[in-house]
Amino acid sequence: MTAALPELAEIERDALTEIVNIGVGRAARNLSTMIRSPVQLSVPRVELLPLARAAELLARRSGHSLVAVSQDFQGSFSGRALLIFPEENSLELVRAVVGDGMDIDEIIDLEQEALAEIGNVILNGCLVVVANMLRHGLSMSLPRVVRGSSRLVMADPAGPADGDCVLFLRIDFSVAARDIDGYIALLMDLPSLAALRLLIGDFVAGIADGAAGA
Amino acid sequence: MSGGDQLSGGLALALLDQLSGGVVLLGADRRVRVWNRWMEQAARLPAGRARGATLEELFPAVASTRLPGAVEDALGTGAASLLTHSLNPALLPLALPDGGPLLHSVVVRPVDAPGGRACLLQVEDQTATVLRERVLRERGNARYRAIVDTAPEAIVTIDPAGTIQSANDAVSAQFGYGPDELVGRPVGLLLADPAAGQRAWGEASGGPGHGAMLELAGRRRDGTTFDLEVSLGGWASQGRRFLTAILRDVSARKRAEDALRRLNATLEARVEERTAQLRRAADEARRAEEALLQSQKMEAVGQLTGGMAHDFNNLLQAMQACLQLVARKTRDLPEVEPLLDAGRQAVDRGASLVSQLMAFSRKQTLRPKAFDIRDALLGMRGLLDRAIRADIHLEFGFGPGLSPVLADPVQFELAVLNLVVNARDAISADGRIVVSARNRDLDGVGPERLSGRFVEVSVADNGSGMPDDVAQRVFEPFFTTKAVGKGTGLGLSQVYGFCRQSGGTATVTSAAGRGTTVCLVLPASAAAPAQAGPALSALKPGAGARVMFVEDDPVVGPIIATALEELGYSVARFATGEEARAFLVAGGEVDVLFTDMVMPGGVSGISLARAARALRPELPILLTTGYSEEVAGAEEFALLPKPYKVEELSDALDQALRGQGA
Ligand SMILES: Nc1ncnc2c1ncn2[C@@H]1O[C@H](COP(=O)(O)OP(=O)(O)OP(=O)(O)O)[C@@H](O)[C@H]1O
Repeated sequence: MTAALPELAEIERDALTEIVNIGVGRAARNLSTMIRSPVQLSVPRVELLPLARAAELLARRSGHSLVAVSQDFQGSFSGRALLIFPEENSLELVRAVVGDGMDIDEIIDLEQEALAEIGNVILNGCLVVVANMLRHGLSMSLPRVVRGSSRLVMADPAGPADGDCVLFLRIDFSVAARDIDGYIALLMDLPSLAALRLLIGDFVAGIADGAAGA
Repeated sequence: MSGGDQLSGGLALALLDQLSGGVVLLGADRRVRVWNRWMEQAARLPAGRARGATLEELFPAVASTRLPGAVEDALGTGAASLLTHSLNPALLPLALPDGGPLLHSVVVRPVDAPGGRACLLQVEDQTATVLRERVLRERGNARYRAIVDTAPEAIVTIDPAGTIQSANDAVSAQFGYGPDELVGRPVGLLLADPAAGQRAWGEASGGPGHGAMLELAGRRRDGTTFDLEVSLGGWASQGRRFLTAILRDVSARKRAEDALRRLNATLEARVEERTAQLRRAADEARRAEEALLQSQKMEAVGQLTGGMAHDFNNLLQAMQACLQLVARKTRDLPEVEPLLDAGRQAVDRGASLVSQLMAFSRKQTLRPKAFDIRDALLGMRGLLDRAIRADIHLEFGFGPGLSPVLADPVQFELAVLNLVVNARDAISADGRIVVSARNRDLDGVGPERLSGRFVEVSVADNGSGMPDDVAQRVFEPFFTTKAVGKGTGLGLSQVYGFCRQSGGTATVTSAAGRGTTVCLVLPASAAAPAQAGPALSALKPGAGARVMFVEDDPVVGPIIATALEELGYSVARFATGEEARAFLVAGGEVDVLFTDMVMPGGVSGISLARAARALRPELPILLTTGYSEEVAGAEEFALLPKPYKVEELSDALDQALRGQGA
């Protein structure tokens, strides 16, 4: 239940924001390599929200037509990672990545797989870094593209679970002189969240230890 | 199924070789463990050589791609990666059997096997799919492109966010941006008011099948704006909605429309002006028509009065002759004399009325001669003074170098007398009448409608004046405002007729309460004024001369014949021209021919006179008539106008007998 959703401690939030930024930084490098042009990704803030609330927020901020690239992850914490942006920005994102020289019809044709790969790069970037930082492996599925309302793109294919929560991160893309706003959402159930917090706690303690040892 | 659960390594590899896609398995040491047959063929690299090598060793170019990172993520973390052909073209140097490039995408995923974690690379041949898509796209695009690329209008496709997704070449001519510069930019860039533009587009973009026409102001790269007509059409592709906009520069058309509108506006003004002109012309025409009608009316009235006057004239002629005969017969009876005088006066009055009528109908016989207006007017002074009252002051004024006029002086004096009397009647008490004369050179315009040199004689008073409707009718015969019996309404018509017949005209200027000025416009004469003519001779006896008298009128004829006989003539009277001619042809004895000009029947007075001259050239001839137009063409003969007194007739006969006088 929403009432049961634990608050993230300030230090936890900071640590997570830090980790995710390292992850998207890596993703940005990968994207840059891929498209041979600078890409900047940044995540200014991490929030922990109940699923319904996150969907509501997303609808309010980005409208009802959304595109999401989704990847499942499994490990000591499990769930689904989503890269979400307004559908009207998706062609721009694709164009930013593939270059301006391409015809609109061509872009439409390759939009789906290009989005999938862009999402894949970014989500992998985040999750791999999170997993590595927390020193726990995660296996991740291939990306798939979902379109629709916030409720639809966030829905768990296994059916909505009570108490599911969302780590909600706004992500700013800056690609080829374009700025595109999107969101990264990590959907987890409460046990996974508890496991993640535990790992974060260990990570924070490790940093503190390292700092003390230095 | 026990025993079948585990695939032998050989079977597994045999299966991999049968797959229609590339399979590469990398061990935890990143070295190739499996390289299936598809990979051997596509990479032209046998498995024997691939096995044991890293990807970077096999294909050095791979190092700069995302692939090594993906392999790391799979082996290190367990993340799966997708490397698409679109974003990673020519990831691996693979070729089709024909040597053409093999378009491919690669899926990288971790494989957790008993011997530890490995990394599986699946290579998918995308060539056919990509080519098919391209063909489809190009086929679908060919017609569109043919239109769009050659269109003179800028054509842009916009996504729902208002971002330009494509633009044709015409945008550079119209907006100054290259097509590639515009792609990815907001469409508001092309509009003078981006916000208003976006709103309008939003409303117009109902979706596929929806079209709209907008009129917006466009903005070029240099900041200048122009009138833009935008046709919008919505369409959808693979679930995505787009708007294609055709942007037409309509500033030229707008200018033309504006010009047309201005033209229309001024057209109205011009039409109004023209209408006013036409109205003025119509008014002019109406006035001209009224003037014509008026003159036709005058003419008709003239005909009528002329005809009547002629008959009256004959009656008066008869009465005059009658009275004269009675006087001769009653010379011994003095008591008859006053009665005869009254009769003579009545006849005289009748004759003067008839002569006024004749004057108006321009059928009086004028004897125009050149005379000096100043002398004539000053000579009338006594007469005029007697005609006006003591409380009226009469003045004369003469312009410099007055030309002599060519007109009948007697009729002129009569006209002036008439005008002065009218002026007098218009002055109730203490007034002024100014009679003046001046030269006038007329050029055909102006109310007179005459051209040449004229002398204008005006009689101006400061009397009651006339309202317009009266002033317009004063020249009509019998038009009078005076009480019955007080005025005949012939005064001014005589004046008018006389002036017209003399080759001039008469005009009246008046307004109620402002007095009246009547002007006589008479032709100036080139000749010097003649001296006064000889006085009428005394009555002479006929001395037995034989007069051949032709007169159809049954009343006039006998009386004049009797009067002639009384005067000592011997008279042979004929009632028709035929009889008279027959008499001459038959050699009848005669000393002088006296004939009326107008007679019924085949032989008129003129033709009789001509026949007589032909038969007897030495025979004196005297004509008479009350109609002036008959005179034209008869100038060769002596003429005695009707009505005439018996003395005048004997005088004229005497002259004729004495030797072709007149
Ligand atoms: N000087 C004038 N001032 C004002 N009204 C005039 C003047 N002269 C003429 N009229 C008007 O014009 C009318 C016609 O004049 P016209 O001379 O033809 O006839 P009359 O004067 O009425 O009659 P008669 O000539 O027999 O005296 C007059 O009845 C009078 O109303």
